[in-house]
Amino acid sequence: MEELALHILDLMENALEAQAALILVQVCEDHHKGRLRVIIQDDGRGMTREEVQAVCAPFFTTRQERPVGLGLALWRQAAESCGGRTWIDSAPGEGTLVGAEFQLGHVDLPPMGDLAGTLAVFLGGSPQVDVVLRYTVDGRSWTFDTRQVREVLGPVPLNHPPVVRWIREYCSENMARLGRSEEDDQP
Amino acid sequence: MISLDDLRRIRDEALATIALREAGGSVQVIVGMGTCGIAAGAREVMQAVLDELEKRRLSEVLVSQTGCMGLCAQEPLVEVVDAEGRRVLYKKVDPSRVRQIIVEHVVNGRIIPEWTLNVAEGREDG
Repeated sequence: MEELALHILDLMENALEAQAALILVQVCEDHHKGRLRVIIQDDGRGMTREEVQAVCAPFFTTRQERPVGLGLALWRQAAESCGGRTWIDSAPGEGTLVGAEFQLGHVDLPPMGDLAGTLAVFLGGSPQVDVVLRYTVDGRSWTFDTRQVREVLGPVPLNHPPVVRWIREYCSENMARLGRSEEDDQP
Repeated sequence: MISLDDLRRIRDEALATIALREAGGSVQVIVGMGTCGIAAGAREVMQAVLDELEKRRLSEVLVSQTGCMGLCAQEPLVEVVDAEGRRVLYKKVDPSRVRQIIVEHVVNGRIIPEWTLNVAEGREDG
């Protein structure tokens, strides 16, 4: 995967497979500590301790079509190849948390990429799921919550194409603004 | 600046112009979004599907995603379930193919045979 945002999409798809109703995605850039933390948490069916151990090995999957699962192994490889680590916290009926830490500025750190596009595409195909995205850069946070979007939309579906475009542009703009320092925001 | 007011405007336009579907339209576009699909470009394919439907104001088409279909070497895969109930699986789809699939198949009902992996007729008598 060439972008962290593609890994995040893949992990959100796992949450979907686990029947999640709400997915929380947290991205936290800390430039003082030189650390990037990404957490994907869902309220899906969760996993037993044995399953958690098994999913860390490549080729584990719950799927029937093909006996290979690579998503989490690729995620771990991405983190470990740039001085980071991953962890999983899960229990049956209590959802799953998948986390990773990366070393900012590491030569092998993939770019974040198009996280706004990831979110828009995910919701375009799965409008029944709620997603909360919390993006933090050096203590400044911005939160996007589909439940608030639904409140505005009323009966209009979340995947009505112009709404999907709005989600992408709104998230893209707000995350870009967060990435700039406060001085840059002065006119 | 994109704001919540823009979202309210989109909502008002949608309420005024589209007949909101109850159980979804009869035509479906399904994008394979497993690890294999994502690695092969499924996000950009889904983006192109949504863009094209917006451009052509095809808000009655139901878009969804699915996991790995077991045909990873042919990803990105896009399945079209058309008005006649045929399920057509397109292989190695990219954004430019998406645009042609939407025009030819979704709008005009003509399958593009050279890109299909499988065509399942909707009726049981076939």
